[in-house]
Amino acid sequence: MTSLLTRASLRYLTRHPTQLLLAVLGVALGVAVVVGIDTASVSARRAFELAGRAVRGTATHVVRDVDEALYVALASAPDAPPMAPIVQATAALPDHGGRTLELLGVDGFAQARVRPSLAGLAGANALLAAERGVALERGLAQELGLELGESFEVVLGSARERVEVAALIEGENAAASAALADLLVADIALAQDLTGSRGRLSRIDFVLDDADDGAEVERVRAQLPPHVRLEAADARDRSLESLTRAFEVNLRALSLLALLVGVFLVYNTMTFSVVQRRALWGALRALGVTRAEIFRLVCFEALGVGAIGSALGVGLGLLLAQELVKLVTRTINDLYFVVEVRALSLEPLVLAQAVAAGVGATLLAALAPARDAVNTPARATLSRSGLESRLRAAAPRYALLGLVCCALAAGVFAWSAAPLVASLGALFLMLIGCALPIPLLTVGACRVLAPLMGALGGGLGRMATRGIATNLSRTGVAIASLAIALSATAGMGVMVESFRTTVAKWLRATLRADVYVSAPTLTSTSVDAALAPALVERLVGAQGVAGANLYRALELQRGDGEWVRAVAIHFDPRGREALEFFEGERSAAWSAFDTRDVVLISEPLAKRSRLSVGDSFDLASPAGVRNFEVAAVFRDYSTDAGFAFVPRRAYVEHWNDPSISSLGLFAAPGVDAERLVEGLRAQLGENEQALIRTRTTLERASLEVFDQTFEVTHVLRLIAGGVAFLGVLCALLALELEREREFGVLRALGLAPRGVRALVLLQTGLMGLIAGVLALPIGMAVSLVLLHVINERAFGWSLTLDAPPRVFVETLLLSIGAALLAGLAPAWRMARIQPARALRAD
Amino acid sequence: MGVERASGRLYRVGPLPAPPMRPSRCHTLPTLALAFALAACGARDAPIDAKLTVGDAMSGGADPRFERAHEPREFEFPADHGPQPAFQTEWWYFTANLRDDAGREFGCQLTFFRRATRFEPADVDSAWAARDVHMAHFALSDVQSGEFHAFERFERGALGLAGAELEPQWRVWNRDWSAEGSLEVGGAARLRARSGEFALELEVRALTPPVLNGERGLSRKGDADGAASYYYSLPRMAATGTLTVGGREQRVSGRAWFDREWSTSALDDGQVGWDWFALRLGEMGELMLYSMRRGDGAPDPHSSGTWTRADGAAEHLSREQFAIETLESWTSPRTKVRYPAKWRVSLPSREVELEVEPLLANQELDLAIRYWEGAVRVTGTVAGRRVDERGYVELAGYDR
Repeated sequence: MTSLLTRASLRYLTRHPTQLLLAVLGVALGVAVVVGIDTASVSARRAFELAGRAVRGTATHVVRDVDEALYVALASAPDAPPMAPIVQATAALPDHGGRTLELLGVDGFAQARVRPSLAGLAGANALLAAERGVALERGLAQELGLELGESFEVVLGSARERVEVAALIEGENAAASAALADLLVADIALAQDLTGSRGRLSRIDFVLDDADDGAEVERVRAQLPPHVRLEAADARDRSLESLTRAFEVNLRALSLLALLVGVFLVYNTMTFSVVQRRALWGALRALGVTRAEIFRLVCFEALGVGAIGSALGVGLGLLLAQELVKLVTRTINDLYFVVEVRALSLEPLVLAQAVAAGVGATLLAALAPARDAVNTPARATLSRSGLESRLRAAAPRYALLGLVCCALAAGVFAWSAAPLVASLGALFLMLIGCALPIPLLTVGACRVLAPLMGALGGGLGRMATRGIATNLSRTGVAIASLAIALSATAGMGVMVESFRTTVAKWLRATLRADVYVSAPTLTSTSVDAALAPALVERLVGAQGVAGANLYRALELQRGDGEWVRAVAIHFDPRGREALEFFEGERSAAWSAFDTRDVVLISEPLAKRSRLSVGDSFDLASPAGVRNFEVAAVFRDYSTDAGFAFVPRRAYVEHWNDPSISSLGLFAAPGVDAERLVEGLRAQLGENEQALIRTRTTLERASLEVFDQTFEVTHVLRLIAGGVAFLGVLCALLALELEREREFGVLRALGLAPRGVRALVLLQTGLMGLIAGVLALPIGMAVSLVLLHVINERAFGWSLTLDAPPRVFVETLLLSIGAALLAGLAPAWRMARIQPARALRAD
Repeated sequence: MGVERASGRLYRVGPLPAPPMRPSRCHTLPTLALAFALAACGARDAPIDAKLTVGDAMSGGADPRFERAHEPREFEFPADHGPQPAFQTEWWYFTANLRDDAGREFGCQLTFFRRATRFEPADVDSAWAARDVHMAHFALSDVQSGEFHAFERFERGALGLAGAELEPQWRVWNRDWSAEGSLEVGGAARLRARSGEFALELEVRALTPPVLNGERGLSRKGDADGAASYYYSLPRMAATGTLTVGGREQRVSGRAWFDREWSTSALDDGQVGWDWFALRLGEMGELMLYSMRRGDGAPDPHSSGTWTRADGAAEHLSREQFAIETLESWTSPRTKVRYPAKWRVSLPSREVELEVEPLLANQELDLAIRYWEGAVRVTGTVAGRRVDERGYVELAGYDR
């Protein structure tokens, strides 16, 4: 009996290869997106971890931003644990496309105790012996076209300096090479000189024994001045990583959305294949095949589709990951930290998860059709119409179930403390909830449209419309999958558009100065590049400059040890309008900012740390912990990490650091910004580098970064759209194939091939229209959830919905277009049908 | 903890320069430059391992601006105990043979090396800019338990991390390892070193004034002009203090030996290593001998020695006046390097017939630079009188 079943199954499947292929392709695409996105994110994370490990070495603990005298005292104490001083900064290579490297200033002798990986090189006193010598990983040197003894330029802050390749580092294996490939290693003396940080250390790394309940850790801690905090070496990396987690979760959600669309496709195929074989099920049951056997058979078929599709998807996904990883790292570099991914890390777990998701979802999608097959009575003659009318009767129940799903989802959205993952889960629930009423809505839509179509297209129009309702078991699923896929892409589109509009508006409101000057670094995430004081003085005092905002980008440690981004700022009175306060009375906040130790914090920081006006905001300064207070919360979209404005006056006083990392210059009345920029550029000395830009240029540059950031979202949107298109194609193919006889009858009754073509295209076009129209409200709902629930929870940003009609028109056109395109092949095929052959089946 | 102990993996960097030094007391400074490319210590993660290729900065000869030892000079003490920065290389070398109250026997070594990697510090705005690299070795031999422990340190000569000075008092140090005080007869100096459960805290008192080795303190190492060092010793010092071995501290006393040398010279071609003997002869004084070894096995004419008599007067010994015959050898189970392990030392003209035998076979310092240096037993007769004393032997260049 089993072989009979298998043969029946195989016969069916081989007779309908196109459908099968499309279903497999649907799963494959869905799995591919999941694999692609996951692999890309994981690779970026691994690269980051590896780079962190290369920089950390075996260090277990670290203190940051200290005077070098502290190191000397600690290292010279009796029986001091291994420790090493580090001066670190980001360096750009102007002659190599602005490529950025991490400058690691080391004391080779101390390194040997803490960072064996670099001991070979740092230890070699080649670095000490050479004049301005640096060490590079061999592959990197090759990539840059540099050889031993060659010199090249580096830019640190506003300084441009020449260094020489004194040594080449060779990793013992590929992973080591990759980990070391973003480093520019220099003697600590040269690094202090290059970064203008005489007397200061970025870090002291320690290797501390954690035996004896951390006695050694406590011993070191006891030797530190009160403001210096000993923390786990990977603490900051961990906090950086946790920042990207929300980003990764979002990406994964989008990739799962693509898989969901793929699953609709599978559901569609399986349902169809079951429905089409009703006679077979009936016969089999009559022959004594048990329900369980039939159930297993359908599930087995689904398993096959799922397995083959997933396997294909993994291969496809790895190809996709090659491209996605570029987009993902670009976003990470723009938003979080600099990381370079040299090789994809293939994680068996990621692949296994994706395969499990693919196979599992396929099986799940096959459950309902399998049940249908099982419930086929042991009579082979049950008519299709019976099934269709039963489905139509069940449609309201599906709709109700959908409403319940939506209500549940809404509950999660309303629950403000819901974790991000729960919110994302609710988003999926909502999508499924929206899909369930679609058969009912389709019937309703047809009822409304039938007279209209009758009026427009006569009998053909009415027939096309009614055909949709009467074939609900096929059309309902097709319309639902198309609508869901479209709404998902539309939702993402609206979200990105809203985000962009909000950011553009905010940029216009925030960028008040006429000209912006910054050290020519790198990425928006770098905070350590400083402008030379003399240069600042010249620029601020230049002709045509009426006033200036002075910025110093920082990372400060809060009283509880957490690191926050901060900007020590002097606001020109003209620059104050730029801040929009959510909380805090304007004049009071500003007067506090001018006179007291207060901070202004950005919205994401307020949300993340649950802070509001009046809360204390302690900051660890070299002279001890300072009590600051939150004076206001302002709107900001520059970073989801959030940051605080610290009054420059207070910062200089407590931190004794007068350096400046960027300037906002206000032009004197009547002075043209472009002209002013030229004048300022003329002030630059030969070895000085600075980015001097007008407000408009900066605004454009910022939006470019924004667009780059969302490029990966666009790609996902396209893929989800592609899968949706496949879904429609598949559903229509199946539908029209099955209606071969119906069309035979019509042809026999005298309908010309042209008429058949028109009928098929009209019907598919109508389905596209219905799906498109249904997708609009669902898409709006998706974008609202993405904007107000997901984004706020993941990133702490409140955004204003801005739904450009363009997105909706695009969605409608895409929907109808996809449906028509998908209808083309069946239309031609049906038109060529020979009535006699089609009818012979009877 | 032992973290200062290198695991012995030596990163060979670039073309191996010929050892630039050839002292009578030719401590391993020659390969110091290489040693800085040192190896891993106690990695807690799987390390990201790397090798290094350097440019030719390291393989060139010494900067011509460094002074060289051309001819005998007038020594001035205590000034000459202090740093000699005009020369590229120098060291301060203490060894001691000690016993605790129960008669348990120990040997110890504490050495401070300085080598300039360049004539002047780099012209950069940083207090880390340095020209000197300081290395220090600390070794303990516990004869009864048969244990030997060795540790090393590298530091740059900047920010007071390591260095040598005369004022306010004589001091050489490498972080918390130090020797300081007075090396004059009647004065006292303190030696301190600690690494985890091993520590040394000794007071040493010179019992003789400095003894000049070679030709009035000029010790020739090769034929070339300037291929020489300035070299003196304090072969007779009283030592008291404490040793901590494996966390157990004990009071000890005994004899110490101090060697001091500076130069800017390179080895001759063909010289591969040296054997150095610091032997106590009881009432008969102290005998220092060094024997240069050539790769071809031929005797090197630049071997020599110094006999410090009981009254502190020194007598120079030329290569022809003594003979050293190797009786046994020992192969290090750890490094597979084979060292001589027992010698017959004779000075026929002085009626000296001695057997020198390590108190412990394994006193190999498997550090960034690998050599054998250990406490030895000295037995035999000197002018008809029986001798059963202690001393120190250094064997360098056997691992090539």
